[in-house]
Amino acid sequence: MVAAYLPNVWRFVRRLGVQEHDVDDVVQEVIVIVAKKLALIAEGSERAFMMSTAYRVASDHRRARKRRPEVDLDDARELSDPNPGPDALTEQHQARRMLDSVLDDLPLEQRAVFVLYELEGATMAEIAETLELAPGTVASRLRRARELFEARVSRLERSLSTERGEE
Amino acid sequence: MNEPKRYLDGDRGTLSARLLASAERDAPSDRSLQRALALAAAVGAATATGSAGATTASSAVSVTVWLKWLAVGALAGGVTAQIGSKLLDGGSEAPPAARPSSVASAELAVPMPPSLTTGAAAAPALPSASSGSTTPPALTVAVPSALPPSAPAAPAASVEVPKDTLRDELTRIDAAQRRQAAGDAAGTLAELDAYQRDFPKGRFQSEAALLRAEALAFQGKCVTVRRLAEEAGDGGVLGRRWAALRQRCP
Repeated sequence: MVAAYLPNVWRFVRRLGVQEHDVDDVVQEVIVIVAKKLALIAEGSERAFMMSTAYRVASDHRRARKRRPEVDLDDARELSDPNPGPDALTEQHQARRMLDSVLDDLPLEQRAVFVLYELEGATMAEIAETLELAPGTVASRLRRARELFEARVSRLERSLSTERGEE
Repeated sequence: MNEPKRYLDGDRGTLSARLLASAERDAPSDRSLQRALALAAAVGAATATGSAGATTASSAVSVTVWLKWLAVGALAGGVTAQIGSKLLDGGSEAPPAARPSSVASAELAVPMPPSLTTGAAAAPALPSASSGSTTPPALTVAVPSALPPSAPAAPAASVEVPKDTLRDELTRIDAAQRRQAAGDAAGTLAELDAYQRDFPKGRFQSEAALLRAEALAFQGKCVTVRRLAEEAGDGGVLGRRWAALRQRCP
């Protein structure tokens, strides 16, 4: 069961802002913690426990290494190109970099709720269990995170439009 | 709780949705996954060893979990051996991406009771459930100095699935879980059918059966859910979710 959730943990940690070259370390730390507490994990709560542990480890890791990449407008330009080049993989990579930069503008506690909801498909009740939050807190954090996300993406779109107008 | 519509369930042409969609396909590399699984196998077994001496049967790691660790460990063991032999042979030969992380390097120092021997006759004696002991069998570790990349996975217990399917299996189960999380019962069942077709002897059969039953319960097909629940027995580590299903489909 633990192995079945590794991809989820990896994605979650990555989208919480842990740098790519550090993700393996963080995931492995999660594994060690989960393995040590395996006997204490309630049946049926394995996924919530792993994600909860991942959140805490990633949070500690981020505090230790504060770094914030800037949005690369060249990446954004290529992504918004209606006739993208043949290298779709590169485009995906660029899109992910942009996504990470946008997510970097969200406070971590909002970002975690946003990522679990939007990318991991967790329900708000599951998020409340995973992050040990009141349901109302999850709802308000998600609402605020979506507002910030929309604002940041809109700003990015405006920057792109302006650039295109100047060209 | 009133849940807002997810971006990825709406118009996928918006920049917001396209950015998020790019992360959907983000996944750990083979190397990352194999290293994580190798570590999980190592520390999982080590933990089980510690628990056996310190706890009662009721609190010890379940045999099911132990066996799963063992199976994963068996498959990942070859990779661990490769990493280990690389490191022991000299780190300068390893490519930059193979940089051992702080924790991954620790895996080499972790005693690995269920590590593999390369001989088929060395199948471990399984722990006895009735005794409550989860002490892994003491096996000798025979790490080949140079394991060819195409070498078949060493046998352990009754697991016969080649190790290179592990990632594909996980991808399928992960996809089914994501479909289920999105409330897409039909999609979940389609993913599980694909899993069953591709991996009839897969390592995540119990998880697949549970996901199937949950999707069927979502569709109101309680007759089949009850049959699956009966086949699952107490459900092992998944027991609580099976119990919830039995309540939904009494």
